Amino acid sequence: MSDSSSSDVAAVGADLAAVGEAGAVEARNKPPEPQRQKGGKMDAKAISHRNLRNGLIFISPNFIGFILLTLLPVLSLFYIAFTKWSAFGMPVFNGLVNWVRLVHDRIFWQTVWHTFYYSLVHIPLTLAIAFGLAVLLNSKLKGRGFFRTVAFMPYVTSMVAAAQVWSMLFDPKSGPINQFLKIFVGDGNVPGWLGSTKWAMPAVIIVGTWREVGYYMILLLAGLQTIPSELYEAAELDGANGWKRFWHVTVPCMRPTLFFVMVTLTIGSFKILDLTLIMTDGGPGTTTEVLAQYIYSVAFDNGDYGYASAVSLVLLFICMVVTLIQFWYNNSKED
Amino acid sequence: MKVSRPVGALAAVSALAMLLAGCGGGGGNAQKSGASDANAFDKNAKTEITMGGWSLKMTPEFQKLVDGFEAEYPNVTIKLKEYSADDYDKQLTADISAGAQPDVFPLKNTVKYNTYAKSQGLADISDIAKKFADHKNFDDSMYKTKDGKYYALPYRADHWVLFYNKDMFKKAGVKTPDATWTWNDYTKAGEELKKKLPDAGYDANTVYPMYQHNWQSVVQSFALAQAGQPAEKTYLKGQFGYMKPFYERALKWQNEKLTIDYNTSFTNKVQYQAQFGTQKAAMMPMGTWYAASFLSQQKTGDAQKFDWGMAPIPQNPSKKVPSTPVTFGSPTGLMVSAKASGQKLAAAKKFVEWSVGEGGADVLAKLTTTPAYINDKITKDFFAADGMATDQESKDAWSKFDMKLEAPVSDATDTVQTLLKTMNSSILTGTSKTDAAINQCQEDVKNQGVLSSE
Repeated sequence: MSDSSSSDVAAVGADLAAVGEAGAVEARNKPPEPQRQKGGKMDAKAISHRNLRNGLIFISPNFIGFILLTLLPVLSLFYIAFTKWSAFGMPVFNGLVNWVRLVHDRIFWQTVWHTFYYSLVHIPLTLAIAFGLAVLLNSKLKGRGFFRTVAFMPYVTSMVAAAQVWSMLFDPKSGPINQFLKIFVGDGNVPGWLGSTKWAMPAVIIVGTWREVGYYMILLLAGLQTIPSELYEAAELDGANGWKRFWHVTVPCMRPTLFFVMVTLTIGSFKILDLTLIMTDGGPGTTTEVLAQYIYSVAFDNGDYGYASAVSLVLLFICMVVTLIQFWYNNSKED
Repeated sequence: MKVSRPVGALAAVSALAMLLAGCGGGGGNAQKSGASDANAFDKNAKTEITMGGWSLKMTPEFQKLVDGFEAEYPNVTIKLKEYSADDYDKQLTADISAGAQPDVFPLKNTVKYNTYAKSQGLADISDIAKKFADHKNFDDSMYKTKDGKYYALPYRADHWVLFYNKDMFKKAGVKTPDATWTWNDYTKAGEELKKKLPDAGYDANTVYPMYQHNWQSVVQSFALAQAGQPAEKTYLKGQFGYMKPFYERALKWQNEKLTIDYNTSFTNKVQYQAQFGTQKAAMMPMGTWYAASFLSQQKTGDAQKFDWGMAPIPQNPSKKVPSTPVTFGSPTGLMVSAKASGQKLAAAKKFVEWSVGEGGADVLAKLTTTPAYINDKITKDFFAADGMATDQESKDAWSKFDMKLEAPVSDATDTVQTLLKTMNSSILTGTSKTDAAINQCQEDVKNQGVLSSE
């Protein structure tokens, strides 16, 4: 899997967030360390100066990489979206031509709809299952380390290999999934999965959920472990049963983690690409072609970088709007 | 916080291209010979040039061409630079836009020719093309640009023929394909085989009379080549009605289970080599490149040993069967970098001239690869390979044909091909009816606005 550096950054960010929360709890429990005495070789100002310099040096490789490989390209995107460019020579400005084409492009609107379809089913499904698993694997369960690993495994599996295996599982005739379903719905009613215009997207969603649940489960698990056990004990003393403890202790305490997971999950869903590219190549017809794949094919297959940039901006815009709505909703709830 | 992956990749490429565009022009120039005629090739000067190729281990033709040329011109050394076969055009695009392309490199797909020709990255090689003008068995007309220049010359030219399993036809007692066949004869033979193959001992559940692979060209490019209207009046006008009868036949074949249906073949990623090579299909339209991989698979045991042959591809039934069978192909060309100059440029051009001519053709034919340059000697070399079909009909199918391009060369081809691919899967998966899918595709091409530049 060759994830772009930006998602790595997100992953690291997530880890940091989790560590930060856990660290905060630890810090609260520890007695404060004695202050470093003044009058050593360096005074506090020099130390903080040196720390700043060293800190900057340490982050500079990543930061320079970010500027060169992410920030500048993203900024140039805003210009390229208004040009015609085949990657040779300089982009030629062509005004609103790309945007007019976009409005009339049926395939584009289809891919927008498919992206929303995928996201609207995938997000709640993944969140519910990941949260359920996290709560389950947070309890004192025998062999829970094993189960945590198992749940996380799909996330580190190569998508190419996973897609191949799932394609076999989904085979309408010989696949185990339909062999099993046959017992309940009869031979004639089993879905055609990847070959069917109706069932291809659900199949993609199933695989997407299967792959990502483990990752979000780990994030939620980290969040769950920051909830002080005293709260549960107090709730129990007040006579709260399991469901009430979950609803009135776990969920409110998890709000920041849930919000973070929600935002990451949403952006991840809107920019889904590898899954459909490998499993269905957007087919049958264009029934599973999503926005990111459309950008990929316009840019790299057709060599039409100007138009692809315009479509990319739409994707960027959609992600931004959805995320802003989530932030706004989260803030309004906190007040 | 996160930038979508394609956006990131796209932007990265664009930024690199912009950075590098400023500092192009490096390399190559240092070797200027200083001679008055910079274009003359000095046979005795020590020269080193680079050549691009894909998947070098799997594709020995590049190394063999280099070896053959170096044997004849010992002072020239050619270094190979490897690209990925699947992403060749993407990698090459990045290299050309950065001015880092090798001195000589192949054009894998004619669809991209126009884009490259306009990139300023290619040297004009019209002078070599002149040397082959009006050659009987060498056609380079597909690379002639609108202003009459050549930026590539073909060294390989695979065209599509009908591979068939003689053993299966014999056991079933069905007449084998020949040059008079139309697609209707193909259908009839398929139906006959469907009935008779099970009695001849073949498993009715896994063995089919034919195998139609899931590429769009298997239907569309035959239609384009054989329907009789030039691409300028149909394809490049966004009109695809001529494909309808070809799709109706394709649907009939899969409905009658004469071939594995598109859905199964696509979702199970069926390998066409396995279908024919393990006797799961009696007939298969495929490019001549398959002969080489079939022979090597027989050696490794991936394909079974049986009697086989090549026949001319069936013709359009609604037209008179032409004396020379009309088929399609996608020639593979060689291009020279615009960055090369002096002796390097001269050596690169000499290498192209040698490779596309008889010298290179002989090397390729011995590898059972189909060269663009064909004469009697080359034909003999090709059919001398161990395990190759030896009948006269196979030789004729291989050497006598009228080849049209898989898709016409134009700025819009890439985008139109993508939309046509969608149309292909829409029809063959049964997602939409043929007429509706064709109309939709015509509408889509119009809405993309890419044909207006033609």
